[in-house]
Amino acid sequence: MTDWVAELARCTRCGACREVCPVFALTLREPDVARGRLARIEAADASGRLTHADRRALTRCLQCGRCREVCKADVRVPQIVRDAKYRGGAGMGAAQQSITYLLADPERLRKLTDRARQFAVALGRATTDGSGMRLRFALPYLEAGRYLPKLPKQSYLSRTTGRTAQGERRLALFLGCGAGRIFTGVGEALDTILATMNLTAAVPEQACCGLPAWGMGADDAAREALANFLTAFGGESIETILSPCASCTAMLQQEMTEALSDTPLADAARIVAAKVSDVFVWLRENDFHPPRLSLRVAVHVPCHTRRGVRGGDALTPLLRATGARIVELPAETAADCCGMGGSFGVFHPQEAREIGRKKMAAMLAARPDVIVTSCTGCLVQLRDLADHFGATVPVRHGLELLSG
Amino acid sequence: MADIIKQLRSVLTAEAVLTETGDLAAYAADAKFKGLPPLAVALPTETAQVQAIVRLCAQHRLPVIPRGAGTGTVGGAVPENRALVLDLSRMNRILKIDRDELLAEVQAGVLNSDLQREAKKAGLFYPPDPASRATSTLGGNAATNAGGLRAVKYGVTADWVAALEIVTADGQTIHTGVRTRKGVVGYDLTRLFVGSEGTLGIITALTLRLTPLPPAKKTLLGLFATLADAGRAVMTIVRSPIVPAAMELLDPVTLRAVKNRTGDLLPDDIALVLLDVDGNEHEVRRQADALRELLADAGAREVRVAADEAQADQLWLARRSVSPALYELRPHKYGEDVTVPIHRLVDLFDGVAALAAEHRLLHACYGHAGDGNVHVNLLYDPADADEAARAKTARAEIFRLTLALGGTISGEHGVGIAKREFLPWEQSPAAIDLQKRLKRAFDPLGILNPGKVFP
Repeated sequence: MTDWVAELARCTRCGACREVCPVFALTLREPDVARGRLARIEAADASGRLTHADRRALTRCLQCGRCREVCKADVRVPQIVRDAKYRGGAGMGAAQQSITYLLADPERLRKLTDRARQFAVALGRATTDGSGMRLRFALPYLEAGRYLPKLPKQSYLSRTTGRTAQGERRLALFLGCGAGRIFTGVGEALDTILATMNLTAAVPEQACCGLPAWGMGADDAAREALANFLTAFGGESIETILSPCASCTAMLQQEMTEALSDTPLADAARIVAAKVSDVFVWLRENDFHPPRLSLRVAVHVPCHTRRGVRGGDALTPLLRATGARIVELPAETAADCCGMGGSFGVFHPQEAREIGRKKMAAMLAARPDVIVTSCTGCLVQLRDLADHFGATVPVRHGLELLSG
Repeated sequence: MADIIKQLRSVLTAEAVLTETGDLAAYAADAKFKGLPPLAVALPTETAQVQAIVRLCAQHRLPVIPRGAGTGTVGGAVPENRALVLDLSRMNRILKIDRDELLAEVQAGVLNSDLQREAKKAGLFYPPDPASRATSTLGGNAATNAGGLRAVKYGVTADWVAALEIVTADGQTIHTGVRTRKGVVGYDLTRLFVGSEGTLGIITALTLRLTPLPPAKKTLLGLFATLADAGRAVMTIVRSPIVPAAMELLDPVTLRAVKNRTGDLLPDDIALVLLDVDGNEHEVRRQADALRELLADAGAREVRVAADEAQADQLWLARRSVSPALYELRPHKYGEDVTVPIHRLVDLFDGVAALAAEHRLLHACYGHAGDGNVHVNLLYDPADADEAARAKTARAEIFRLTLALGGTISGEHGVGIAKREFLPWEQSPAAIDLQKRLKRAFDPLGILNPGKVFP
């Protein structure tokens, strides 16, 4: 495992992170910027314990990685924060423990989504675009008025799990919780696209990529999720694992090897991580002919695409190739985070919305016909924001446009 | 203590007064110096709040440490004992940019680069630009009289501060200075507060001078075989009628540290003189031509003009990244800012090289050679007690050398904690005593950033 305490010591405290941190921009408090977070972790390490206040404060990092981008010493702040959460994780809240536990295993996750669907009708009021609902009242970690996507009667995974690969390429799909259990259109769109290439991808049994657990420092749950992933996707018969969600992709390509580095699964993790491909990067490299589109499109490139996914942003060039007009956003907002930041959006919903507001305002000002992204976490947040602006512009996953 | 926190919260809001241990840890250091966490941090947005905070602190005899972005390098904004840190980051409003008067009015927490950007939109220019300009605040720039890369032509922060709004140690607000070009009424308190490192009063707002934005700019590079050759070229240029807008020098070790930013632009093992000229198109062309000739005559191995703005930006970004990048070579450093009369530049380089060799230390020299301000860096590993001790000795000897050459031990960083023990090396007991009496007159209770500057 990387020695994150030593990595922390490489911070020269120049303060450049103050220029870019979205949370700091909102509060202008030094504890809310990388340099201050590292000072907190260092002090806690020196005293030998992370207090409840420390743990709470560490959830105030989006882990978006903007700070690392401007860091002259290239200090891996998101990973240091993550690791500190883990080291101080003994007192992690019961709700966090249960949710990370439920996500890790396919069977538990299926039961969770089934229950959620049964209760959903009573909890919320449908939004105007029909894509989801707003909570009528507050629930643990979910404030009243929060947008929640509609859960389908039959999820994509419940229909396709067990399918085998066909065609010249031995592809397998890792959908992630968003595309697999909620947004059925994503997997369907990919099937349509692959069909034009005479391909069908296998769909092994699957649960969560482990990122929510890993991001919260619930490393055991993350490792369980990854072990399940490797069992399902570790077979030699699989040539490429396609992932439509940038956050899952970053987790599987980058963080998995770190998370499993001291375990018997280290070698398997390295081999399988190399097979994981962002779906757009793969389409670009594999003779996909995009349909013609005449739309104004605003693209929200997820932080994980910018700073985690191998090959970076391939969605924008693919959309350009359709003839769609990609609207230009002001330089100072183009790279902004949507505010979700995984658990950040759950623990600090008001600030998450405040951070995303600027990005959404810039996108809406460009009067797009559609807003697209490539991470299902961003998708939920962007729909929440659009709905709060009273905007009727649809927010879609990139695959849904590329399938024609 | 609980008492003053409660009172502070009623003056500000609960959210704007920090007392949680981990929050306070974030205010224990600046970009170089580690001190102790404060007792509390106050985050005001208005001058009236600063007044109320200072009055409460006076009442409770609690020291107040004003802080901007915490990018200082001498511990000026770092607590050493029980104190309140007054973080001015939230006082970040640009109040006015006046095209007729060529003045800007800003709150103290406005970032240097934010003013530069807004001035540019109005066709105007705020020249002082410390390497930290994208992060550092104008209040902090004034409190330390920050220099920067353009001082050779445009001077330092003090030259651009027309007037100040100050909260005094007894919580009053006073205004110093004039908006006019000239003004000799009373003592020049503006100059006194600029560079006083928060020990005499708290700068809450500034009236800054602006100048019309030069329409054209060019970046030139002179590549030299040795640092001494480069230094001699700088001395020649300073004596010529051409005044570059910036003239920076980077030695081979420095260039190695920023190699990842310069890429293939530069060969290895050279010393670089990086110059900007600005003005109208015609002037810029004329100055660039003259400088090419001067550099070539001074023995440059090669003279180049940056191909385009992107390449020029890349080079200047590399220059601005030097200080943090040097940590890649050794875990720690003394990064000094000694300044000598221009004609002693090469003597300084030679003397520093001899001292570094004598003490077996890796060293790097770079900086604002055009104004004699050189960042002499002694690189060391604190885990190596012997090397750390040698670095400490060599640092003191470099101060002695600088003073012997007729220079000053700090051109732009200030004294803070880091250099107070050396103040008597540069100034007489009578001069220091007069300053201490001045401090007592401004701050009878001794609550404004106590312990800084003086030994």
